[in-house]
Amino acid sequence: MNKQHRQTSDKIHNCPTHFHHHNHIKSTDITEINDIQQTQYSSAGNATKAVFFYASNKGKKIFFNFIYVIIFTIICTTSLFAQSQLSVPADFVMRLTPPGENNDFLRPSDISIDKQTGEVFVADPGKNRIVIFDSTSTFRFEFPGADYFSTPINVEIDNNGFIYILASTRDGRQVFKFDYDGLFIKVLKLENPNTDMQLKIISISIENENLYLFDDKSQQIFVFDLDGNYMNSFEIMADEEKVNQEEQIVSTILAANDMIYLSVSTLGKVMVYDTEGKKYRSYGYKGNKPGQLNFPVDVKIVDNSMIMILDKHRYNVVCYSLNGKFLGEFGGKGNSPGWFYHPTILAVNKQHQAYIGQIFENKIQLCEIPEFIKTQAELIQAKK
Amino acid sequence: MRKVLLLAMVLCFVLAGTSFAFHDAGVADCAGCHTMHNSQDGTLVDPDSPDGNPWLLVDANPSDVCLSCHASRLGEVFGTDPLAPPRLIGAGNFAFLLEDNINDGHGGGDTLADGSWENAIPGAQGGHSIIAPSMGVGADPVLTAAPGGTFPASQLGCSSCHDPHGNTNFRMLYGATSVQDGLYTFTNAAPTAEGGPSLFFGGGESQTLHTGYQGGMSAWCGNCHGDFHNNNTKLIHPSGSTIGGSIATNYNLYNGTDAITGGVAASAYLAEVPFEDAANTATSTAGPTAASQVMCLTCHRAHATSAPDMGRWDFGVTLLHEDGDESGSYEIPDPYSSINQRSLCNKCHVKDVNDHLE
Repeated sequence: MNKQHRQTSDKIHNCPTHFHHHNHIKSTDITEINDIQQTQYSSAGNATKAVFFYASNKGKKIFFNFIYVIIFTIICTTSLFAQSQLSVPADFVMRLTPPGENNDFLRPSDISIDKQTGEVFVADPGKNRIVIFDSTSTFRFEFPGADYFSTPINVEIDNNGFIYILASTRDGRQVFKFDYDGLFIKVLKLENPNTDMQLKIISISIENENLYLFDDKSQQIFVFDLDGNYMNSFEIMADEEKVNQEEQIVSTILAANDMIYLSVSTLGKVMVYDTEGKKYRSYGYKGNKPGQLNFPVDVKIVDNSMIMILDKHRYNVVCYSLNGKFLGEFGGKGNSPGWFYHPTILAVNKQHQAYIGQIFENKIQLCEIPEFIKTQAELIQAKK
Repeated sequence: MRKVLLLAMVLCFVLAGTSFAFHDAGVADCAGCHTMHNSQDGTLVDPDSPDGNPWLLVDANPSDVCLSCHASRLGEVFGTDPLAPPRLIGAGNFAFLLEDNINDGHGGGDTLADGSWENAIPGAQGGHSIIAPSMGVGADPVLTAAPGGTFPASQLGCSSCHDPHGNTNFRMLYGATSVQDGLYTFTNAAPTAEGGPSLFFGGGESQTLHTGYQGGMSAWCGNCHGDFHNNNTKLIHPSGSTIGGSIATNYNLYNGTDAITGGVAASAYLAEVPFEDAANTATSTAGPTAASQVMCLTCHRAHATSAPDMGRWDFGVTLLHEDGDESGSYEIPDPYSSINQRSLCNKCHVKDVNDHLE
């Protein structure tokens, strides 16, 4: 072995670690080896053979590593591509507005659909009124908060058509009951039986003759009957530390399918409890990508097959099957029809179209739920 | 290879976002407000701003993001109903910006044939007009810059005063530094004050739990408003000045129009008319000494009130219970709960001494 060959051979064999050894076998080294082969052909003994064997092995390793990386990249890209295919703009149908000049909504806060008639009820705080449209979004009538309240926050309809309004008054937030013509019936006397502290009601929901509400002070869900009689209450996120509990923003409560759905905006998820307070499951996790939730503020269940979640910070509606599979999402940030800016209101009508509302420009837009999302949901439901 | 895959998996988890609460250790997670490329999976994070937003923000209006959490909770700085605002904390409430009329002076409630107000003072004149379209408010309709200074009204938001990345100052107010990434420079340090989370997140302001202003507030306001109040040569009410012995005596003795000399120094503190003193704490009840200072926030609240010029009380009404009568706006509570109570200017100046009481 001549001196040059020895030097090259030493360069390979004297590396302090295997890792460094790998790094030393680069194209320059192989070129060097080839040069040695040409100029020192006569002395190509066992050592040279070993070098060739080694170089050939390294080439294979590098080649296979390269293939692994390519495959991994393809899988990731395909997954992301598939995800982005599930994220589409909203298909705008119409803008919901009351008739007349200077009569538009002012900071709309909630929409509720009467399950029986399909009528659409809009809470309009800026004008202190409830505006009612028929199932085709044609204006029917409106009634004012008048002397009863100053700012309607939530509106809910029970199975008999009675209207329940969570509204603010100078004495705090209260729930008012009106009949289907907008005639005042009563104020529900809702009290926390465990303390003298007044409830600070964030949101209400009605199902099966029960009124569910979320109390921000105690971080509890309260259940009352529709006359305002206390029935039950339970704490949410009871396993969390108190300080973590208090920092969470719960935007809305929805009672559906004998379950209670809470939009916990700060956690980027919708938490589900049964009516006894046992945590059942949650939907979504925090993020900004398709299928993830950044700041969920409203939730609706469609046809017992799909859960739709409005995300204020992703400006869209994210849809999952009830077993949690991401089905798709629609919407996005913008000012044109079919685009949203910090939307806060979600409702789904009998025709399976979605109302999405926001304070900016006082917009309530009716949009189609994308067909592929509905189809996916139906397929999953059918399998079930 | 395993190392490569492991690294890739770790990266996937990191990029997928965390499951922590939005605020961790005092500030939000970076991705809550910023995006590195205005692009995520081939789509724009902010389609309205294809070239991206200043400071890599995900939203052109950062105040909208702040208010997602802090409007109705965690400070409750922007209630939904200006007639029934959340419990009062030191800075007041932005909900009053939504009012159509806060003029409760004489003629403030006069209306025209079409029902509109004749002498309306809109809510925008009752507070700092922050730009937050998601809450229905925008730049000040009248002012283009801070009165007394040059801070542009078109850029006013939460992060004009509060450092979104957090600092150790009172209410995360900026110190003497560049703000909004060089838009403006504050030359005066942050004020010193006490009023911890229990006040901010807990119950409302009271006479025994309030912000304890200690010093530097007027100078700090002057970062934007210049020498607005600290110049006696222009016959302007002083601010950032010691109040002197006679004013301190007035303050300590005054216990409402019904008892103008009924107070004692040990319990004279009135949260509605605060003053600065190094000895002040969030629970102190003592009145001022001659060395205590009058400051901007003695008469104004920093966010908004239902009185013109962000008054802690309505400077335009004769009796406090008249507040809200003309305009139908929120009646600022009278701390003395008296039908006779006159303007709280009297806490220092006692000009209601000769009033005929009912």
